[in-house]
Amino acid sequence: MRPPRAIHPVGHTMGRVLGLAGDAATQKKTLHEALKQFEKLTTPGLIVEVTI
Amino acid sequence: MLEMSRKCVPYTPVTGAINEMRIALVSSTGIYLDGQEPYQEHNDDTYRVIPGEVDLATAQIKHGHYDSSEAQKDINCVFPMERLRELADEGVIKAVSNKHIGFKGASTDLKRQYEHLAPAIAHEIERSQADGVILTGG
Repeated sequence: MRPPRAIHPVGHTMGRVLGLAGDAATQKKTLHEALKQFEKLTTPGLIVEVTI
Repeated sequence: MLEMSRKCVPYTPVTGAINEMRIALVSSTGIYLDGQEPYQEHNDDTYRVIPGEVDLATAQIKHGHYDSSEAQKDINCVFPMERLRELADEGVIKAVSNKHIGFKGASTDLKRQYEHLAPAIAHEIERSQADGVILTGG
């Protein structure tokens, strides 16, 4: 079963999926990209690669 | 319980804008709070409710299946509550939901997760103020 909408932030790894510890700017950009998919992504199950 | 094929993608169209939405975090990173029971080593199918006004200094991680060292220093790496609050303050989203969920995720008993844990989490979120959910993994 796939998620309805998903992003894959390129270069982010497990344990720091939103960004490095203390890197609030990257964390916020990553979260914002995920939130944007509510409005942008209309094809269920797509995983969008994003470069933060 | 509604039976869904494993090939199904549970998709609900969003008709409004994200600045009209209250957002909840649901995280399989093993997050729990001081005073809550830590997760068991294997096949834990429980979840923890994380209040929207949580002080992240009280948050802990117990997972064991990913390197949580960055998250131990800054939980926003995997559970971006402070970032979500900032986006609410900036008007990007309407608000942070009153309830969020943590669970461990890693389990060999997928049937139990599918039949018990996932519906329980969905029910908890349905009873919250959330209009949308961001899922994070470790």
